[in-house]
Amino acid sequence: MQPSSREDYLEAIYKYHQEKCKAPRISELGSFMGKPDEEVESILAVLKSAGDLELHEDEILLTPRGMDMGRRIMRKHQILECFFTEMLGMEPRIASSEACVLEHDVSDETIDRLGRYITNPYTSGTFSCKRRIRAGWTCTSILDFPEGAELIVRSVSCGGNYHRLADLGIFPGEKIILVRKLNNKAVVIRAKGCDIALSPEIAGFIIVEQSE
Amino acid sequence: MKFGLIGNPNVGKSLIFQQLTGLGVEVSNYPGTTVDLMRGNVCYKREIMEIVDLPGIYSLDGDSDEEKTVRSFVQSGQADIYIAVLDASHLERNLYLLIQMAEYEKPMLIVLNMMDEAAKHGFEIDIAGLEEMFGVQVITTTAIQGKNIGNIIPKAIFSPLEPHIEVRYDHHIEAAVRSLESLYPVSRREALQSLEGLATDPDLMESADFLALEIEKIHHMSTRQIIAGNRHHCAANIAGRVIKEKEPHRYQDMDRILTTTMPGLPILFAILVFTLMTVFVIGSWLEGIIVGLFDIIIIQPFLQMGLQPFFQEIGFAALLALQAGFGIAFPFVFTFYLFISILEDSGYLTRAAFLADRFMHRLGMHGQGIIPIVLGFGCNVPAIMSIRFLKSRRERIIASFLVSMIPCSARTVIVAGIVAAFVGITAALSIYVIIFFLVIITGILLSRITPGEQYGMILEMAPLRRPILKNVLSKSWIRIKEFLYIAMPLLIIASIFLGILQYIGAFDIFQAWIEPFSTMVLGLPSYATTALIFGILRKEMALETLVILAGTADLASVMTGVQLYIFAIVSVLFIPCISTIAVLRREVGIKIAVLVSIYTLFLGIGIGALINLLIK
Repeated sequence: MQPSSREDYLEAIYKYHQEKCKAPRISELGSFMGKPDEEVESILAVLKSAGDLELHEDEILLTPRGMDMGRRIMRKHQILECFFTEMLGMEPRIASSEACVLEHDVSDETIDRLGRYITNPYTSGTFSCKRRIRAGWTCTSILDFPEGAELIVRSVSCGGNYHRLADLGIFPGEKIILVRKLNNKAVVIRAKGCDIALSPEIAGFIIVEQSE
Repeated sequence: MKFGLIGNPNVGKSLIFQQLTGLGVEVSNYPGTTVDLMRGNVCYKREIMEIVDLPGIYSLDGDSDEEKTVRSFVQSGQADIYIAVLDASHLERNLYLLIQMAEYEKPMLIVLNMMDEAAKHGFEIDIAGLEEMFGVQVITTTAIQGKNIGNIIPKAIFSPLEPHIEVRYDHHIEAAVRSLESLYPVSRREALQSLEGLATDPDLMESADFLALEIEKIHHMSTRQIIAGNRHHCAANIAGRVIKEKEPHRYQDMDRILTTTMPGLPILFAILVFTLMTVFVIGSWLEGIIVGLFDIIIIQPFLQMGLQPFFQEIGFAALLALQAGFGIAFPFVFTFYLFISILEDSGYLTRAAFLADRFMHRLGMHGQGIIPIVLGFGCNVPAIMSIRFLKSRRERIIASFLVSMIPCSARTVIVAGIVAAFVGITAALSIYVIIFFLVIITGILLSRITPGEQYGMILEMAPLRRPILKNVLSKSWIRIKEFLYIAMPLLIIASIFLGILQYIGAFDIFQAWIEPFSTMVLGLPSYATTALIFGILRKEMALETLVILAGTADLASVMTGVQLYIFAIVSVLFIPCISTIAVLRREVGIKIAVLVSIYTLFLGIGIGALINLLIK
């Protein structure tokens, strides 16, 4: 089985579930995808053994893993299709089949940027963590790391409101150390050799990655 | 000749200022702002020169009140020579502000302070290299030991040089600056500031905003972040070139103990309780002595002079106010300031703010809000003065309500003198419990209804240092002076006003009028209500007046335990004293001051009436 057909199946099951608000049966999925039942059955068996879905009698239920994959592929498909039709003016039928091909190879990062570009091509600004999480991406703020972690700032999503963070040396690309984290999530970080105490809501705005 | 001291917070700037000027410091309001600037004079070669201690800031392009004040001070060329104070042990971060300052190209002297700390960290700084890079003179000092401070002024006067630094900004920023410079008659610095949204000319701002938007699109960062990043990069480059790091001196990480939940929180609690208890014990001891002496030396002789009754009444009222001022100010407030200065100089106060952050959030403030609350236990007046350090107006409003409800030392006198003495210790403590409960409820309520955005805490932790007695004393002295300037005139005026009312017999009329209300609602005799009114003047006067009006010091013989309890709780809660109202008006405006007074008035009477009702 091609990896792309696994993604196609998960996407289709997810989409069916979203549209009809119920789990598809094998025959229903076959007609939804326009594929013979035998092929559907054999591929579902492979997916089941891979832990992407479970079969309850005749109903196909996605596991969290399968659900996540299905949602991401569907989003990629939708964003690509939207870009092709709305912005490039392509014919919907061609746009859809092109999206079907590209959705398997395009990276999360590209889709993320493309998605933002479509919604608002003139202001891009920083990553919206909420949107990324909704779309199934992970986004780590200072609060997600343990005490003593050495981190690199990736973005400060509230940069406009808190100029002081930049003045204190907390801006994208800068290395910081998480010195203290209380159980109430107030943190102390060390930036430019100085210890700075932050409230949890501010620390949550600072998107970081573990330093290598 | 006028000097401006400029630098980050916690670099020892105020200490240098104090050592340069002595204690003759004047706190004055800078026109058009709410931030006070400290001005002082220094005499050099028989010439008097003014020094202005600008508030500690992190950036000249920031938008906090202090940063705006300093920016307009520097922009309008208020000082002839700037003295930039840097913390040598955190040189890289401090260079950021210095770079901004250097871009103004005003005559400047660089003071590298805290050379002792830098040596401890194992830093060796190439002074000549730094001088060459900025094109101005550099002087090294250790203010905490007074080392080399005397050379600052001579060196600044002798050769005031204009600094020059070329920061390499991102090429998009540079391009935008160039096009703004060609379109408008602005300098490079002004063009940069307009990109950060800080210019005033509408045409310039329109073009700058357009360019900034383009740049932000490309970089996915705000122009401020890009410019800040470039400056930090420049600072890091300079720091890398002038600092030679040696084997650092190992020192113990006290923060392991102080900023953890365990044992940090119990330590915080213990320190607060210890401070309050000590202030109270020392304060009441000193108060007894001062008030007693004042009585014998001034008040008794005055009463024996046999003036006309009207003048005697007025004079007596004024003297009483003086007595109250000195009797409260020195013993309680000064002792309290000593403790706070110790906590502040040692760097502990910022740790307390960090630990308290979460709890203060529930009350609609953040960690720094604990400082006015703690100060409030000493005296509400300095506590309200300190709320100006809170970032948003929303927090200042909430703090002004809560601080006005905190039982200050004068109110502690009432609780101790009435309830603890005549009813019992448990009852006295229960008053505190009720008040804390009300403070928390009020805080939660206000955090819901007060308009404005809640800002989080971004607070630099001051390094832990051993406080130095001389510095603690002079700091407390400057603060108590400010307190006396504000509170004293008010106390005297209010006292004279009450004296006149008493002379013309207004209180008898009031007493007759209030009688039914007083007995019905609060279950108190009418003279007790009059005593409560005197409490507005200064809180512990409620107790004194009650003793006078009751005609006996043994209050238990004229009032029941419940009445005493109600009297104490109402007088603690209702209307802050007149000096507090005055500083409230100054810090948060007349509207909030009136609201606080009305709220506490109703709260006090309401709680009193409730207790009266329940016990009946």
